Amino acid sequence: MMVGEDVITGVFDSGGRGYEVSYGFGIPSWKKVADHAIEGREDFKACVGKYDDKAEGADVLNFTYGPSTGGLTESIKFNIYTYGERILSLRPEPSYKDRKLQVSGSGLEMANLRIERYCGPLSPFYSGMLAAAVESVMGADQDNDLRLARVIMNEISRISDHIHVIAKLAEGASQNVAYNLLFALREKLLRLIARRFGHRYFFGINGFGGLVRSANFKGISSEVRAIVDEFRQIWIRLENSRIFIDRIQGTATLKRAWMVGPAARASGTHIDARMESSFLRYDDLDLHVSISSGADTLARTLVRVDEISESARIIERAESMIREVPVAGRTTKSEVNGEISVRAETPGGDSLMRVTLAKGIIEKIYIRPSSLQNLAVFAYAIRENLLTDFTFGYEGLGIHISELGGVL
Amino acid sequence: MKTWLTYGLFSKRLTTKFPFKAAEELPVWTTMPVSTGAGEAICPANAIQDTSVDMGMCISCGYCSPAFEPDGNARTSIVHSTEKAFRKSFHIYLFDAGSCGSCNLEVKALVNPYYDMSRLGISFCATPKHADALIVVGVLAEGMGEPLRRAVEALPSPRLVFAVGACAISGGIIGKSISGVVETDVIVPGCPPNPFTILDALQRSRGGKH
Ligand code: SF4
Ligand code: SF4
Repeated sequence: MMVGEDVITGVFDSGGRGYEVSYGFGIPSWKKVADHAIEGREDFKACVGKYDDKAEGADVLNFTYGPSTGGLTESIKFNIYTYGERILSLRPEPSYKDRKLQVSGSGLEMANLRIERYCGPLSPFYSGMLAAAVESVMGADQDNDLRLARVIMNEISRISDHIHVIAKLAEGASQNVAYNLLFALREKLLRLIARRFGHRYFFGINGFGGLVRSANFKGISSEVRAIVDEFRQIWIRLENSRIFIDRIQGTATLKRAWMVGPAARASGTHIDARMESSFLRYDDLDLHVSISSGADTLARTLVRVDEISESARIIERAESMIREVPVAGRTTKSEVNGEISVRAETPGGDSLMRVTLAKGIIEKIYIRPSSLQNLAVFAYAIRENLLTDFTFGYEGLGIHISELGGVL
Repeated sequence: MKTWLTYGLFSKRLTTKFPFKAAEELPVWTTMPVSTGAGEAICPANAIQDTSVDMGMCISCGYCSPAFEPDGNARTSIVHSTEKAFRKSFHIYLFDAGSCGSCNLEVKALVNPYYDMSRLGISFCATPKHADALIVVGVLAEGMGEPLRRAVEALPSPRLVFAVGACAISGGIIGKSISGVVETDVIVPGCPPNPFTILDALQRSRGGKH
């Protein structure tokens, strides 16, 4: 049996008549499930963002953090139940900033622009998924150079996101020199993206059947490599800081079959959508999947550190293979119909998108982002940790709150 | 292995001289698209009227190229009111009303060594109660209306409210702007605006050197 084959990885509510459920991490397929008994399963709850946990009893203190506070970059509220310094349980409420992003009913161009803004820092992943879904429904073979271009954009984004996560951990541990150097490094990477793609977050670049405007890939891998080498220099010092390691070791430990991304790989599970995706193949890029075993914030960080180097290597390989990336212009007037599910390995892990197209219009769209799973990981893993561990447990999972909002 | 101190000392200076000198590296598609006369452009955000662009609506997509090309000027903000009391020290509070996450990161980037806003006496604070300015990003999500109202009420006087990014200013292509809840003193266009543009707006809003 494949890893997590019976694990619920997506739940599509088909309107009061039970659910359509996707099981396992491979190529997505959906099964109708009328049985509401699955609602009690942890993996189901993780997919639908149901957090009903609370603690009661003498001397249990319940307080809230958020939705807007200086310590959080994005708005979310946490209900925290404590006994003394100990967190007994935690119930996140991520719906405050839910924008109810309207994508269905849109033509392909507007759908693409809105999906880019579903989660800005991860825009190439989601716009790439939408593009791959549409191209596949159209029956078009994916152009190899376009595939490599998308791989490069995704891997740069992964490096940027991972550096940001590690910088936030260093900031939490008051490692001031380290976090300043790491934030500077991320800025360097954003400038590189802007120079080569015209936008710091890859907006306006991914199109259907090609890129919307031309991008400069020549020599990109050596620029990325220089940044990653600098990162390694900073990391060598950071991993030698007892203060830093003490804060993340043994913090927010959890191992579950439904976990995705660095959280899953840090608990020894060998899953990575890049190994399985038929929409963005990595099979000729010799992907090495990073695994660790501690299942805590330190192990997740070690996986990220490894993945930063691995992404640089993939970019090198992809650049050596890329020739001319097609420029497709901004829109397509195709009248396609069909339904398809695609997945991608975002920096936080496996994300799933299901798209129904009718006459070239997005009729229905469903996204199960990795942040849903990671927020559930946080809610379970932070139990029995101390309040001072909160920042490290949370930031170490690289959760994007914008990803948790609904897409209509 | 070099210590942090020696590592820092051997690293070259990164901090920009902006706003006293020109921005050294601007991401072009956050600046104002201007007509080149090369054909017609259809703007997905309806930001183009004849030959001019309403920057409050522009989502920095670049789809108008080559009929319009960005002018490369960091100054796209509009400052309706200034407050000189903040010249020496300026405390700002970032408020996410419903963003995609990128505007937040561009505002937060102001503390990285490239921009280092502390050299200009600007710093983040942890609550609107201690803030001189509220920096609002994102569209007005249903659940954030009340928290936004409360944050504005908590601001001491004098105070400034910034709408940063197309979403907060006009709703962009995502939703409603924040204008139904709060009047803004400064608007900073872009999707997202780049950190130079945000820094320039902060400086101008306090009547500072720029
Ligand atoms: S960049 Fe995009 S939103 Fe802005 S004017 Fe051009 S087409 Fe319109
Ligand atoms: S203005 Fe653009 S970058 Fe800013 S929150 Fe809105 S979509 Fe995101």
